[in-house]
Amino acid sequence: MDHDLVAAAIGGDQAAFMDLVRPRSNRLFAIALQILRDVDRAEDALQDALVIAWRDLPGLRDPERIDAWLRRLLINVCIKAAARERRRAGNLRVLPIDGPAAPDDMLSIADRDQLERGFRRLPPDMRAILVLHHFLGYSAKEIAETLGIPRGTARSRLFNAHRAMRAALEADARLTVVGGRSA
Amino acid sequence: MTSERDIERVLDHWFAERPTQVADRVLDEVADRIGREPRRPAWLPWRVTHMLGNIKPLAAVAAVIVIAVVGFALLRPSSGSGVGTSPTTSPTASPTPSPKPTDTPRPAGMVVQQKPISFTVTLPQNWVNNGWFAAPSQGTEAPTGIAIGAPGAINVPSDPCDGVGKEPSAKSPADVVAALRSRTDLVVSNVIDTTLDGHTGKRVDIQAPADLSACTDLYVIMAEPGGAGFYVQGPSQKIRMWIVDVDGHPTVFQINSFAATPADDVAAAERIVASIAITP
Repeated sequence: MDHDLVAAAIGGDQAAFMDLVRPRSNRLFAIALQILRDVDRAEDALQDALVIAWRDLPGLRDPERIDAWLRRLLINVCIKAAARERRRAGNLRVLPIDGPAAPDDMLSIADRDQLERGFRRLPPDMRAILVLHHFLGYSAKEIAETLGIPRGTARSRLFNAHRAMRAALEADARLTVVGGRSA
Repeated sequence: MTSERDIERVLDHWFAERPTQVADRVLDEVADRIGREPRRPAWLPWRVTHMLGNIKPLAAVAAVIVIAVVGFALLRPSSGSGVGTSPTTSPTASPTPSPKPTDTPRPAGMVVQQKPISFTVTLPQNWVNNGWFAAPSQGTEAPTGIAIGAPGAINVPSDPCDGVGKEPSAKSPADVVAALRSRTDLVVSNVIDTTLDGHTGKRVDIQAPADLSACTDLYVIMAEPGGAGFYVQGPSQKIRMWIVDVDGHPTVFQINSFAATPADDVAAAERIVASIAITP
């Protein structure tokens, strides 16, 4: 079914393209939301990624990998959007991600707030890698395939992302202790 | 939050699935935008696994493969009415001819809006049918690549970086040659009168620049809105192009190669083109 839709969309059938991406849109949106932590920005990123997908679909080399291809496009768009966001609004007040959180008896609100701030301090590509690994459950091999990087690079970047996240959390904890509150 | 905690476990928990649903207006906007968004020309649109996945076993035992490419505009999108009204095409869609038993299946869902043509060529065993072009195992790219194909486009953008192009205005093979000659970046030579399967037209040799850096993206030779067209596969690509009149429509067939392409492959490509049978 999807194979036919991909072929039709490659051939220029816009309705087929929309039928192809519609059932994938919630998942893609969730990925964008996890990276960008903002509903409006995630919606914009999803739109941009899907328009790019439409434009570039004739060049898709392996239609069997449409899902990985779409995710890769989206993540690249999100990384660029996150980079712009960091340059433009590095000191904006942190707001929690929209939507209800999953039932959670492990993390306190303070923990979540701290994680949110720590995550936003990370470079965009590290955010993306953490989302791929912890949200999508990707292995280093799958991260490498998605981002088009060597497997060893994916592994080291994931390690570095964990280290950076830990450092960000520790820095946040120090700020909280010294200042009584954090920005 | 302390460093004693297992950061992986914490992050797994924090990233736990949240119910998210994208608003309908987001996809509505996408649908609207793609209706206005031009597509790139694509010289390598599909892998063989896509086009020929279900006939590969046949290909393996066959000495020859017969290509059937239906339609001028294999890559032109169906964007509803209003497309396909160029001077080179019939304003009304015609049904696709019934495939012959030896025809390669078209990709499912492909819509041909223009008056369809088909052509068949005989391929050597080591050449692979990719639907609207064929190439041997080394592929199409520099330094040794080669391909034969029909791009489904005749518009030659004046700007080689224009990957969108416009609806064609050429009415004859001579018009297409004139548009190619007007491109100062291309070396256009050996324009001769020719026939291809009884269809008269022009044959021309083109050489792309050695330096393609003028375009940050694709270096385009032909492009039409909707994605039909082709771009060069490497510096100094050579293009032998036949532009023949098929029922009043200029139609392009071509061989793309490079200086280092094996001579045997070039000769094979010439034989492939010579074997062409065009069905208007």
